[in-house]
Amino acid sequence: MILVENISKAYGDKLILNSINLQFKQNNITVLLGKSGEGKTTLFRIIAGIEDQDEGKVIIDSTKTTMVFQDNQLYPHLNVFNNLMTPQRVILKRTKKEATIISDDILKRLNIEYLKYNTVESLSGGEAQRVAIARALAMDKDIILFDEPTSALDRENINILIGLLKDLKKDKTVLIITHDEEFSIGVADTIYRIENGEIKKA
Amino acid sequence: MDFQYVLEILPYILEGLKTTLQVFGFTLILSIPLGVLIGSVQSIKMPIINQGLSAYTWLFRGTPLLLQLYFGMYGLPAFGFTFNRITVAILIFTLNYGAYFTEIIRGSILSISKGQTEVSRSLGFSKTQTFFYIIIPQALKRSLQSITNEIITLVKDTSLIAAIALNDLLRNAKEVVSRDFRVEAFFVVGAIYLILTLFIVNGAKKVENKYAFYR
Repeated sequence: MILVENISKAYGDKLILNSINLQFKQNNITVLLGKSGEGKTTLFRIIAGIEDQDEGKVIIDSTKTTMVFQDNQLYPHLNVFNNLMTPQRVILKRTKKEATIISDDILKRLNIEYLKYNTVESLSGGEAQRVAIARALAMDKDIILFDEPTSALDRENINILIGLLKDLKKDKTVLIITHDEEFSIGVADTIYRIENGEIKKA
Repeated sequence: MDFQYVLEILPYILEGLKTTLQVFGFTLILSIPLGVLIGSVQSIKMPIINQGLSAYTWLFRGTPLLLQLYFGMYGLPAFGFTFNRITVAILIFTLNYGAYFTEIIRGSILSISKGQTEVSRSLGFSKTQTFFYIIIPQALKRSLQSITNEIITLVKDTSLIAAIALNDLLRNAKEVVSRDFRVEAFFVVGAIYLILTLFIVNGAKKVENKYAFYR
């Protein structure tokens, strides 16, 4: 569970977020829907712990949280397989054997085994995103945050993504921010609209 | 070209090659780690330390290498530091090339997107782990071409050590030319420099191919 309590944030004179209160349930997909410039990315970054809020607090177990970035941010110096392996080996201290089994399993689950030894550079937008999701899943966290996951995808890949996210929520809490209304309706259990730095439940 | 004559002068020229390679090799081994170290420190925000380090790169990039060699040879003893010539050469070359490598590495580190750090932290890498496993490998890759260029320049710059009376490749050739009034020796050293450069270019290509996936 994630609790967002009275979060406010301003850049200079401009109030971006005005006393936001939210709750994200376990095994649920929660979507924060809003146009660009409405403060949703700022809220997302605060929840993810990348940015600091001016007021309020976020109750989240950050050790159990990971995020998938809009531009994926795969590691260009590593191939697909090692993008999954290195974090597991370094952070979780998994043995090579353990990490390999887990990586293979996840690549299979996401239908991207065929990309295993590809370079990051050679991936299409949809493929890169699935690799980024695979890398996050390999870390075995309970909460996954997604920043604009559909921005680089066509319809077909969006449908694949929706299937994937619905599969994920069986054992994870999923939070998504997006401006894509159709996608939100297709995927969410709960939708919050964000407008002028305030939340409206849709 | 008179090959008999070339064979005659070759041993003396190769004697100079030894000195050239000595200065080149030690400088390479010492200055790259120095550049990586200082470049890394400079990419972290630490105002006072960074100012000191900027002064270092400014000093060594802003004055002629030849002047630095003279200073090492004739200036340092005035402050009570006396080294033999080859040590002075290696010391000054290392500091000079270290300054260039510092700027190359620092620039590469700063050119890596902030998102790489953010995603690493969100996956659970510590700051130090992010630096060593994610940032530095990418920065080195991006620096490869510039580093290769510097290494090629270094081979040729070693000829400056003749100014502090070290018998390098070029100086030995010049001695032969003045002694015999024949120019073959210049062709020979020219060829040797070209061969050295060829080795470096090929070596760099191998390294680049090995770490090729991306860009």
